Amino acid sequence: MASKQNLAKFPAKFSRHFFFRATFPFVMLMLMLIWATSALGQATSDGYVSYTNDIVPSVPWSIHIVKIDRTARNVRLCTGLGGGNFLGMGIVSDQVKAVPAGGGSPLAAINGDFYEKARQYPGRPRDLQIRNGEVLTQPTGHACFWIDSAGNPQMTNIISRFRVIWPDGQSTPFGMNSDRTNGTLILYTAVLGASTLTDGGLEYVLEQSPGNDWLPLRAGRIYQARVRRINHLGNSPIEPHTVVLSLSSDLTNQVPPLKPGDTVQLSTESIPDLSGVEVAIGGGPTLVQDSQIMSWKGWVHLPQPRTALGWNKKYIYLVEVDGRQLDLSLGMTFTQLAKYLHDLGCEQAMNLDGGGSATLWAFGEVKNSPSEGQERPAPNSLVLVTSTPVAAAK
Amino acid sequence: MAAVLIIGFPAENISAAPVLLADVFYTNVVVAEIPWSIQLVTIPRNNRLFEIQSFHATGRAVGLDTLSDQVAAAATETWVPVAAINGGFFLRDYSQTNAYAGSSRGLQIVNGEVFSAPDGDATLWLDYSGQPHAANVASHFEITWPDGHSTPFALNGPRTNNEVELYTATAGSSTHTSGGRELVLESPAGGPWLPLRMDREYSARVREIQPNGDNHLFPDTMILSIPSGMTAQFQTVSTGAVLRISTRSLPALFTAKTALSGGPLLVHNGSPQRIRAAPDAPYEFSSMLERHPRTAFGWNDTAFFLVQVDGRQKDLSLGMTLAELSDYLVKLGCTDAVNLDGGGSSCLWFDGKVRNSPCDGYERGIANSLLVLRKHLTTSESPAGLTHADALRERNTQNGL
Repeated sequence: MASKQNLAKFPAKFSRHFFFRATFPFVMLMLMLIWATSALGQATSDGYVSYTNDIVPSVPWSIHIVKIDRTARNVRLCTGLGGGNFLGMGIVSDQVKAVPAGGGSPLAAINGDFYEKARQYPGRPRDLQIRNGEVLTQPTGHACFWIDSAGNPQMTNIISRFRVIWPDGQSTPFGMNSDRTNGTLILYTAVLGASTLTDGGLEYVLEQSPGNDWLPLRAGRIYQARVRRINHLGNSPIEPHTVVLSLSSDLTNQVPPLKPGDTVQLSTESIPDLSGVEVAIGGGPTLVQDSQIMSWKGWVHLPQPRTALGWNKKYIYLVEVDGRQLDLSLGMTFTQLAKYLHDLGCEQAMNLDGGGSATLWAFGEVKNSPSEGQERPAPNSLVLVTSTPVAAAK
Repeated sequence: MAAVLIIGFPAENISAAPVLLADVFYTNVVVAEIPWSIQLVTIPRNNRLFEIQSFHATGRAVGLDTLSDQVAAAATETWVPVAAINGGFFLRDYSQTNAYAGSSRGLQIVNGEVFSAPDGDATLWLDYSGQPHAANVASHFEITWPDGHSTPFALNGPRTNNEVELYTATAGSSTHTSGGRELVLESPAGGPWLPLRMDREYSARVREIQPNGDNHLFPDTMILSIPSGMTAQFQTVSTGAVLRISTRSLPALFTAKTALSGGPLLVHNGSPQRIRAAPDAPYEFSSMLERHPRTAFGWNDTAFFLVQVDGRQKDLSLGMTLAELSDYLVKLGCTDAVNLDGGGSSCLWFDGKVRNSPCDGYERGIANSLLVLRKHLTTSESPAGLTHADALRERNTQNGL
């Protein structure tokens, strides 16, 4: 196993010397050897998951692929978090270490969503994330990948209907675990950390309304929540079994006032309905839909390192294309990536964050060659977990 | 993905004598080394004689006009245009047959009236007290049917196959739709009604149900247009039914008097935004790493900045990448700035004429614009429209607060 891993990484480490100096036939022979060896890939003990490094020397491209047989019963996809069990930025190698609810060992992972550079809330993914059934962030309308309650992968834009329904029936949309800018109502949950990190405004600490469902917040529900405490200073502690509903100063006199003991409703509904969904992650754009390659009219793309995932009726693919490394891999444009995934057999495929963030981890190590020379922290990731224990590859 | 390159800016020259017109400063900055030709207008924020307004070609939510024509159309006895720039992205179809050429992509608010719905992109807005804001604005626009279920809607644009579209008379004389079903909505007596404003909930009664598209629009009614593929979902709605229409968004824009979607945010809280290649949006997003003609609106505590950079003219100006534009805006002193439409749309008008060199060689017809207007000193001291306090009071009354 160890020798195969080394061969798969071979081009990343030695290409700079060989590609320039070796004669063409020698290069071709070497590449064919690498191809032949790496194409064998690696498999778990049950053979349902394989890893391949596809080399296309003519460009060049170095593409890392994890192929998952959808009939496998002992593996499942989950989402990882930059801060382990909290929002934050972290390298994929570290994200896989936080064992998800339900147990198991990580087999493979790719970096996830785009993120915004917010001082107070680093690692806040741009769009929806659902982790082990818990909603961490609200949908913001980009393409999202999710697994429906029947276990089938899905890809759509998701429209948030996350809102607070006040006692008088009025409602106000809320965001989750993000910067509380003007005009926003933000719900802070324990995944953020110890406190809300806000300044001023108005904060309602909400607890379980007796006899009703409560945390973790799941998608597609309407929760009853009772006001435990009101704070006008900001930075409320997020106590166990509570969430904090935080209003920006300009919004405080725009919504009906609440007092301790009052009940409000929190809706986590969306279009489409995500009831029962355990796994969701944002990204975009859609690359392949119903076997059709998307087109980008008028786009003049630059090839970049890319991360994507795709699937058909039999397999799910986690794919990373290295880039910005002239001797190893140039990266792909969206059109090239979409075509590649289509040719791989994907009927559906979606792009994730790329560039320096593009990372593919499998069987205990990062397989690709990150463009910045080392792994760049990412806000979240998509992690393949097996319930069958596997020996850590080292 | 591409790291923003922090570059030292080359030497700048002022090509012509800067103009200071009643506190408004205009100049053309030339950077010969690249070359860049930059049009710059600054407006003091503390001078209440100036107001920034958005305008849409033809005064309606659709249609195309040059910036010069929009400036001319916006002039009134009370408000005199001083400067203007092109606005946000729009449906660019110049064929005569498309009734929705020039419909804005994303939110536009003109004097408190919502012309088009938010689409999640970066939006610039000014409240009734003239304070600027910028954020990505997510639409929670929805219709709630008598049975309690709700459906998102878009506003005053081309109706697509998988979304219902709400039309007000601001869209024109008719809905210009083909097929489907259209519900004519009227106000139940007494409730808040048109013009449509942000962050409200309206009751609307179905006056009639039309089995075809392209029905007439009137000032006192709206039309909810359902595409053919979706009519089966709404079979049960009958004449006389009362629907709820919500114009909520996140963030809430309850005080917005003027708004335009563009994007991305270029500067936020004093920091140039790292422009990341996350292009879900079409062309304008992917082309951000290239040099193109650009238009941006920025501000700091004391001034507003209208900035236009010519491009695609190798002897005059190459244009800027968004990273270059962000850095330039920070250098100017902007603490916040939003990118607007660029390319052949990029245009700046100041004191009577277009000052830049549009890359197509002529002024392109555009959907909307951002205008700086000066209150005419000789007229009475009663500005049109609502004050900030009036707007809050009216909204709270409508929402029963």
